[in-house]
Amino acid sequence: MPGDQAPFAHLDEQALRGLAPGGAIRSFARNVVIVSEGDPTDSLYVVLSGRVKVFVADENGREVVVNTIGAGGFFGELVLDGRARAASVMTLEPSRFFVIPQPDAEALLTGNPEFARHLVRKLIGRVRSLTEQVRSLALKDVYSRLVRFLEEQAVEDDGRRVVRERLTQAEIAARIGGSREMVSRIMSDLTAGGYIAVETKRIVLLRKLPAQW
Amino acid sequence: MPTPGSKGCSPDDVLSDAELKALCQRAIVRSFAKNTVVVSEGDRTDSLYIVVSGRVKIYVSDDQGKEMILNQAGAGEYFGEMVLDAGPRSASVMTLEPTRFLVVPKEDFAAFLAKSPEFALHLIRKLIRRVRGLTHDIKSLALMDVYGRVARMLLELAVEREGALVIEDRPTQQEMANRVGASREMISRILSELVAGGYIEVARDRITIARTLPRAW
Repeated sequence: MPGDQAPFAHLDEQALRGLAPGGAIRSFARNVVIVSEGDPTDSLYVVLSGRVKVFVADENGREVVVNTIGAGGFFGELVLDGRARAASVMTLEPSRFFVIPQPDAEALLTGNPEFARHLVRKLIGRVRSLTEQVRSLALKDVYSRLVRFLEEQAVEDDGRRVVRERLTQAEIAARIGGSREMVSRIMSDLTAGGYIAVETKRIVLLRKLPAQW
Repeated sequence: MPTPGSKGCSPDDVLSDAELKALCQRAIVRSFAKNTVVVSEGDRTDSLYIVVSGRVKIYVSDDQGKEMILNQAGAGEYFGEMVLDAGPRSASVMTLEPTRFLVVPKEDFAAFLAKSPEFALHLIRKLIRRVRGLTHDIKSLALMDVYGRVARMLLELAVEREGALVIEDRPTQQEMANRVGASREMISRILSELVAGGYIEVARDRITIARTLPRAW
C-alpha cells in the first residue's frame, strides 16, 4: 500500500534521527518476534529493510496474520493510547528497524501535524482492511476467503495474474483463518481444475476462479 | 447538544462541547425512526454523522442479509470519519432507537481536522480503538469456536450487580448471533445447554452468569 510508505519512506538514518533524537537502529534475523501481543512495550518501529508480519495467536500457537509491512512502513503506533500491544510482530526476512522511543513518538504526534495527518490516513486504511477481514471471516466460507485472498495478492505479469510472494499453505491458512489441510485441499482442486498453477516461487491464476467450490 | 458520557457509550469517543460547536456551524439536524439504515456500505456518500440522541449499530452484511456487528455508537459519538481518505463507506449504520443526528459536510470536517490538532489526536485515538477492536474480532473469529466467542461476549457484556455477574437489557439471540458471527440456531443451542448445566439463568430482560463458564463446549 503506497499510502503506508510516507512519512518515513526515503528518509535515511540521519533524517530519522532528526525526527526522533532518541531513536536507535536495530537488526534482527528472520523469524524473530519483535513485539508480543499483550506486552506493555511502547516503541514505534520504522522498517528500514526487510519485511514483517503482524499477527494474533492463541495459546496453542494457532495464528492469524492481520498485515505484512515492508521497508518504509512502520508499526507499533497503537500504543500511543497507552495500552498494551494489540498484536505480535515477527520478521519474515532479516530486517533492520529504526526504533523510536515512546516520548519521541508522542512528540512527533503532537508537534508534527504532517505526521498526525498521515497517521489518521494510515489508521483509516487499517480500519478498512481489518473490516474487510472481519467481513470475510464472519460472512464467507474458507473457499471464498481463499479466492478473495488470491485475487487481492495477484499482480499482472506479462499478461498473466501472478501471486509473487510464494507463501506456504500454512501461511495462507494463517492469512485467511482456515486450517492448512483445508487450504491444501482447495488448492489441489483448483490446480486439478486448471484454475491455478503452483510454481516454485509463485502461484499463477490461469482462469477466473469459480465463485463456489 | 448531546450529553457527554451518557449511558452505554465510551466516554473517550465523545466530542467536547467546544469541538461540537466548531464542527457543527453548517451541520444539518436529521432524525430517523428505529431500524433505519442511515449509511450503506459501498456508498460514495461522505458526510460525518454525530449522534445527538439515540443509538446506532455499525455492521457489515452479505446479500443474504447475514450480518456482523462491528460497533455501536451513542449520544456524543460520531461515525463516518473514514471517508477522509475518499474511499466508499466501509460499513453500514442502522438506528437501534429513534435517533437524532448532526450531519456535517465532509469539507467542514476536513477543515476542522486541519486546524485543530487536538481534534486530530482525538480522531487518532478513536481510530486506534477501532483497530484494536477489529483485531480482537479477527482473533475471535479465526481462532475461537462459536462457543468460545459466545462465552467471551457474555463475559464482556456482564456487569457486577450485588456480587453477581448480570447482563442487563440482554440482546436477543439474533443480536448475539450478529455480534459473534454465528447463526441464531447455534446461539440458541449454546444458551440452552448453559442453562441446563446451571451456568447461566435467562430471564426476559436479563441473563445472570451463575458459575464460571466452561472453557470449552
